[in-house]
Amino acid sequence: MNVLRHGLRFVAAASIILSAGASAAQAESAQPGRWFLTVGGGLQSTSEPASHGATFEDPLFGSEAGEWTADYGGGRGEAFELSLGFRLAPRWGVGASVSRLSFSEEVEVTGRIPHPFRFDRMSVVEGVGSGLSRDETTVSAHLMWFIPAGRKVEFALFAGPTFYEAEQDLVSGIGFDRSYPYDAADLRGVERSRQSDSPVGYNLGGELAWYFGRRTGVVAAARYSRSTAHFETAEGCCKPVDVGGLQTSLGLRVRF
Amino acid sequence: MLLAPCSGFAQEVHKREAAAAVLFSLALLAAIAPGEAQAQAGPSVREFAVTSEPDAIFDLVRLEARISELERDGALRLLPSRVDRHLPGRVQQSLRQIHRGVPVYGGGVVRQLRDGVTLSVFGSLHEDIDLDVTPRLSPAEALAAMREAAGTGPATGEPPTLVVLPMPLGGYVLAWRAMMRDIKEYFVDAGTGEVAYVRDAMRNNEAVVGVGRGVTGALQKLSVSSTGERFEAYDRLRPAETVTLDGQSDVEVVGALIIGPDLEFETCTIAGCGVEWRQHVATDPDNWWEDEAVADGHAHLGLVYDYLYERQAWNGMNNTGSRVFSIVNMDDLNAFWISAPFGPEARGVVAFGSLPFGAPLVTLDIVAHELMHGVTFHSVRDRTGEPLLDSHTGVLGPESFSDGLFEYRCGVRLSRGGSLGRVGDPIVCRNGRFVLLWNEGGAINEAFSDILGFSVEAFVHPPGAGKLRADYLSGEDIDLIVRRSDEPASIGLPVRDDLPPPFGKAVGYPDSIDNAVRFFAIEIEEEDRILYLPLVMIDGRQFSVRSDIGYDGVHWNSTILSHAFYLAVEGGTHASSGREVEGVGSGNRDRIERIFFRAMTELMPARTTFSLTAAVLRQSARDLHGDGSPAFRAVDQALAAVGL
Repeated sequence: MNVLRHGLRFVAAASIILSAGASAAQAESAQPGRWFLTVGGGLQSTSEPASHGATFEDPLFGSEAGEWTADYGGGRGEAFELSLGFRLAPRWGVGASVSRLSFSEEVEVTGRIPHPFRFDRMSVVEGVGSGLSRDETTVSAHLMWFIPAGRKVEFALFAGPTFYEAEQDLVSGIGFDRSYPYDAADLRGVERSRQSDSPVGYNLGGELAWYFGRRTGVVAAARYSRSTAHFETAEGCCKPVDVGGLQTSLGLRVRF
Repeated sequence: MLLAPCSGFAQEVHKREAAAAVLFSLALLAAIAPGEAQAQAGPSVREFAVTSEPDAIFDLVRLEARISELERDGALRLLPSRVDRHLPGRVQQSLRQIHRGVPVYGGGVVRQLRDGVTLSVFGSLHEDIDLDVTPRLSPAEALAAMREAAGTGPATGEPPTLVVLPMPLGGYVLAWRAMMRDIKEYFVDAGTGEVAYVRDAMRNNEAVVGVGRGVTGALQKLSVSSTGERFEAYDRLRPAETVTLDGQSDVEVVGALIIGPDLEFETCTIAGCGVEWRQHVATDPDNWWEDEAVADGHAHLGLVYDYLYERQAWNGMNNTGSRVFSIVNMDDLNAFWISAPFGPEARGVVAFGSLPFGAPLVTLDIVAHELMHGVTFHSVRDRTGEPLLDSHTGVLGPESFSDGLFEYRCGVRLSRGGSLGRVGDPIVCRNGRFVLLWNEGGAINEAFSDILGFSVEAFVHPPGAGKLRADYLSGEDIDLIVRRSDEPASIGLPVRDDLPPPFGKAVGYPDSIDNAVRFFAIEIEEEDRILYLPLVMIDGRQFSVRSDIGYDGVHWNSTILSHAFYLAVEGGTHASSGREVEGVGSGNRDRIERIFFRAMTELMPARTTFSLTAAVLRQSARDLHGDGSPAFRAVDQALAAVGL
């Protein structure tokens, strides 16, 4: 949370400074202002946590240990973004954005359960755990380079740091059912633990803005962001997990 | 040679053993023909092994008519029918022989029906019974006679019951029967008050002597219970609970756990107020079990249970899912099964001692062997009303024999007493020839127990030779190979080493009915009893003196049938007959196991012989797999190879 808080402070401070400059400039000209605010949403593909697993003990295992592995499906989630920018010069500008990604994923779990009466006779359980959620809140700052492509169309490239607040449900254990003669078992479910980390990474991307009005337009953007969070798993601390990913979004922009 | 007994009840057994004193009361049969056979000597007993095969169909029809007639007359009483556990549509019936309202000991038939049609009938009927069934003795007087003979009181609160007892040398006795606390069932003549027959309720494993290097050291998993303060060898993870009690090498503890309270001084029953077995459950403070007897005994008890449940659909000792008990750390050089009404909950119990200075007798095959005695007991008794009985049968032997010093002819009487009997007792003869006797029922009982030992080993261990491998040896995991059913003759019978060959010569376990071990016996005329002598005829020709009678030689002769089991599974050439057997192969061994198990638990009559058992086994194979099946062929050929 500290990193996120710092990110938000950074954005707030920048906004105050930039808004002061913008007010002065707007007073001088009736042209659209140098500020622009974008609200949008889209999809973000994510990298999945690498497979992980653990051994575990049980009062009915004797001196043998059970084990399980979890393979996460990863996938894509819906992202919401709010960004604010300021054109410092005709070709240059700065911006900051806040985005929120949340999605639910499945995990394939495989376990090996020791027999209560016999050594070296494992029951294999397999199944899919669902509803493991992943949430990423990011604050990004970026420097923008504008490339005009006509009177109403403009490209921009941007890059900068990203502050992450990443939360992930990770498998921490498995539940199973079995009955005499204990030669087979069924996966009852997975136990999960909520892990979080606040890494700092980067973002880069580009956008295409089409202004259908004097002050308003739509923006299509593609942003790639990346960092590495470290989560505590059943194996211990800490497992590196990639956060971020490729985000494509569509938004509405207002210049003022 | 037997070691000195250590416990009171065992002492009785060993005394009896050392004295070569065996009482028996059933018919002496010279030979049994397939189907129906008439004894050559002794009381009239007719055996039946009739099936619905085309060539026997008329025999079956005649027998059915006769059974119906006997049932109408009240001479056969139908016990509650049972649905076959393995084959749908099959019903197993048991009809008990009754004489004027009194059961005839061992008499009766078991009948298998399919959709109401008879498929097979096995059993024995005693004929020419002309006996008044009005007892002169009251039950209380009979009990007093039993108490005097046993030196202790009754085992249960049940009063003695009447039975018609066939006598070994002919005739029948109306007797009161009751189980006493010396673990013997007494039959007292209801007319004279004399003890007419004593049945030992303890089924021993073979006495073992002297060698071994301890347990294998293999880790075992034990299903136990936690009390919070300690762990108990009390398994609650299986459908039936299995409990291992610690005898702590204390004769009194073991005796109390087995026998229960003395009813002469207590008013409760064994089940109700016996020794509190819960106080004697084996325990461990940290669940890392240091006691090898408990670790092996408890783990193996569970694994044998698993085999019975998973492979034979048999739940526990008596197939009701009742709690199964074993006792380890028994101060005895033996392992045994003691039948109901003994044991902590009056359903019988298996108990395990140890080798002298060595390993506890709790290997997987030994535990399976003893537990199978319990299965045999319950399965046969619950169907027929009697457990699988000792059946002493005889053949006519030589006219004379020599012990190296003297030539003995019929009519000779013992000139020496001691272990051979009493001076003056005549050696049993008929028609100028010595009668050679053996306990077929006991040997068959032992064979099925060994077979379960092999089967459970195959269930748990990989095949191979050596320790912790599935094989056809008994006791090899503690370097105590007492028998082997793949090559029976390679193990010698106990040798009397104070005699020169051929009397003390090594003789292998029999692999065929043709080299069965049969005993000379003495006749105690005034008591109408017969006692085995440690003088045996191995193959009908070879005379030998053994160190003892080896529990009637039941373990010795067991290899006849267990060798047939081996051949039916593995196939091969029978050593002494040269017959070829197409075994089903070890990958299909479960078929043979099922055939044998079903034969005992569904079809076997209480009184059986080797030939009757062979007929039952063939029927079991036919029922399960059909006449033309490889499994039937394997069983049929294997039985034929061993002379059955």
